[in-house]
Amino acid sequence: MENILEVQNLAFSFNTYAGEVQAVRGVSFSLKEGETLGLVGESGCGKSVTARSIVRLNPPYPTGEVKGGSILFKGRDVNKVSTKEMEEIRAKDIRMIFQDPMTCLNPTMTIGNQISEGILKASKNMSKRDARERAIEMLDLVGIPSPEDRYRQYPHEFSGGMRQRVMIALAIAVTPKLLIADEPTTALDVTTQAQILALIKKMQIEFKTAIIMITHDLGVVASSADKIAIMYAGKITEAGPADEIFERPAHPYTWGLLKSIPRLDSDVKQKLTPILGTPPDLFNPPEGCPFAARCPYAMKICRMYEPGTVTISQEHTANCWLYHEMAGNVLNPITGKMVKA
Amino acid sequence: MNQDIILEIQDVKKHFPVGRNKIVKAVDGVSLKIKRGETLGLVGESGCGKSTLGRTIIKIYEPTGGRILFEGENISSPRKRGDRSLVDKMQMIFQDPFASLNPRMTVGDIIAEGWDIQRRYKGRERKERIVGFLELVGLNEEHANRFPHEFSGGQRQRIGIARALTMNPSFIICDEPISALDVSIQAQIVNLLMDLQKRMNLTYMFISHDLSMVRHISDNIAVMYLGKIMEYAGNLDIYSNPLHPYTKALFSAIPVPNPRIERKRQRIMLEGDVPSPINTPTGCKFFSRCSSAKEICELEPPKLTECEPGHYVACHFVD
Repeated sequence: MENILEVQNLAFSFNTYAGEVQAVRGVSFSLKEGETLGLVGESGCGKSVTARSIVRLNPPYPTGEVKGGSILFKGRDVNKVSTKEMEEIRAKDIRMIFQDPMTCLNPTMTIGNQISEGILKASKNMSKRDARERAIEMLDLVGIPSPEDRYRQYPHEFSGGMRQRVMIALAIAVTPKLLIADEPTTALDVTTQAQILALIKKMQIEFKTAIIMITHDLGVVASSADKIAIMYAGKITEAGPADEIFERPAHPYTWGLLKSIPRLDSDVKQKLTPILGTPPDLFNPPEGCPFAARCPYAMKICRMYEPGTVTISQEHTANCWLYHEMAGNVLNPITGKMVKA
Repeated sequence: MNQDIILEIQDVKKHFPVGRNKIVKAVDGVSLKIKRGETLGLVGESGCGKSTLGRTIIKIYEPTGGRILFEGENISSPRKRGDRSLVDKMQMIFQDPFASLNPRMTVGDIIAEGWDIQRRYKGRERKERIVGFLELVGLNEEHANRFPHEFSGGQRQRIGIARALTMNPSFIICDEPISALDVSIQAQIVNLLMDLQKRMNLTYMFISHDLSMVRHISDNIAVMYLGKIMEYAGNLDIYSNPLHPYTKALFSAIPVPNPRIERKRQRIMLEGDVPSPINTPTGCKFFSRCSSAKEICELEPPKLTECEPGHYVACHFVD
C-alpha cells in the first residue's frame, strides 16, 4: 500500500529574542491508510511541533521557520502548496483533535453550527439542511445522547468528555484521510479516556483514517498504535512496530521510560528507576547524542558524535552507539538479553 | 485512643451552597482511619471530592459536619484567625508547581516562610537550615537565591516538598503531586517522597488519579465517587480483588503499557459521565451508571461494611 503521509528529515525552529530554538531537528516517518502512529515523548521534545508542521499551523516566518526536510501528503509537499490549497487540505483531508477541547471550540457558536460549518467548508455543494442532518448523525455516532437537542447547545453546556466527543465528531464529519490527535485524552479521567480511545478506534475502522496519536502516556499508545516513534529533544530516538517497542526496546531512553512507570504487576513500595536529570536545552542542543547526559550507558563517543540510525529488525530502528561494533555489549534491562547477540 | 492511629475522620461532610437552594455535596459523609507511617491512596475521577476531602482535613475548608481527630484531638471546630496549632503537624503538597509557589519570592524565602512567620531562625542559622532542606530534596545551596520561574516542573515540585517539610510535620497531604510532571520526572519525585517517608517517619495521604502510581506508593487505598468512599482495602488486595462495581470499572480502564495484553483485555466500559454533584441521588451514588443496579440501590444508600478483614465495600450486593 502506498504511504499517505511521508515526512522526510523535517526540521523546524523558532526564532526568539533569546536565540533560535531548534524544536524539531530531523524527523522522518511515514504513514499508510488506516494505520496509527504513536508519537511519544516528554513535553518539549517537539512532538506537537512536528504534528503542527504537517498542517502548517506553526507560527509563520519570522517567528517559526521550516529549516529543512519535506512533508509529502498524498505525494504533494505541503510546504509548497498555496495558502488557499492548504486551507482546503485542512478542511477536508487532515483534521486535528487537540488536548483541551474547551479552548478549541468556539464558545459563542452552538456545537451544531460548528460541525455543519466544517462540513460545508469541506463539500461546497452540500445544502445547509444536509449539513445539519450529517452533523446530527455525527453527534449520534460519537455517542452524544439526544443529538437533536445537543445540536443547539453551546460548548459550556458539555462536560470535558462530551466536548472531546464533539471534537471528534467535528474532525471525522468530513471523513478525513489523516487525523492528528494531539494528547486527546490527557485532560480526561481514565474511564472517560477509555471511552474516547475506543471511540477513535471505532471511527478509524469505519472510515479507514490514518491517525497520528501524540501522547506522553505509553499506556495510551499500547492500546491504540500500530507503530510507535519515540521522540527526544527534537529527534526520533527509536521507531518500530508497537509490539517490538514494548517487548524488545532498543534505545536506553525507551528502557528508561518503560522502567520509570510502575506496572500493575510490579512489586509495590520498591524504588522506581527514574531517568536522572532533565532534557537538554534546545537553544543550544548538545553535540553528539542528545540523551547522552542522562544515559547510564553513555560512552565517550556519545558526547562527541551523533549516532546514526541502526536497524534492529525489520522496520525497527534506533539511534544509538551501543549497536556499533566497537561498543561494549550491555544487557537490555527489558528483555534481559545482551543487546548484541 | 489508639496511639497508632494518626488521623481519624468520622462522617466528614463538606457542602458548598451554589445559588438558590442548590448544594454541591462535594464530600458527603466520609469516615477513614490512617495509621502512623502509612500511605493512604485516595483515588477517584475528577469531581469526586478527593481534593475537597484533603483540603477539609487540613482545614483549608471548614467541614460542614463530622469529626476530624488528629492524634486523638478533635480539630474539626472552626479555628480562630492566627491559630497555627496545626502547621507543625500537617502540611500539604499541591498539584500545580507553577501556581503554588509565589513568583515574587526567592526559593530560600519560600522555604523559610513558615519559620519567618513564627520568627524562629535568624541570620546564619536560617540560611544553614534552608540549605539543609534544599539538599534534602536534591537541590543545592545556589538555588536558594533564585526565583521559581528559573526552575523546571520537577524542581519546583521539589521546592514545594521542601516547604512542606520545614515545620517538621508528621502528616502530609499530597494532592496530585506528580500529575503535572513528565513521566521520567514523576518517578524521581515518587522516589523522593518514599525516601523522605522512611527517613522522617511521615504519614501520607496521596491523592491522585494515576491509579498505577497510587498502587505503587500506597499501603491502603480508598476509592471515592461523588463524595463517598465506595471501597477501602489494602493496596494489593484492592487491585487483585476489587469488589465494588465502580472500582472494577475504574481499574479496568487503566491502560497497560503492553500491546499484547491490551488487545486481549475486556474492558468494563462505564456509560456517560459522573453525574453532577448537585442534588445527588438519595440511594447509592453510583446507581445511574451501575450495570448491576437493582431497585434497592435507588432507594437506600449502602453502608461501607467490612466484607473481608480490612476490606470495606459500600454496595448492596457484595457481602
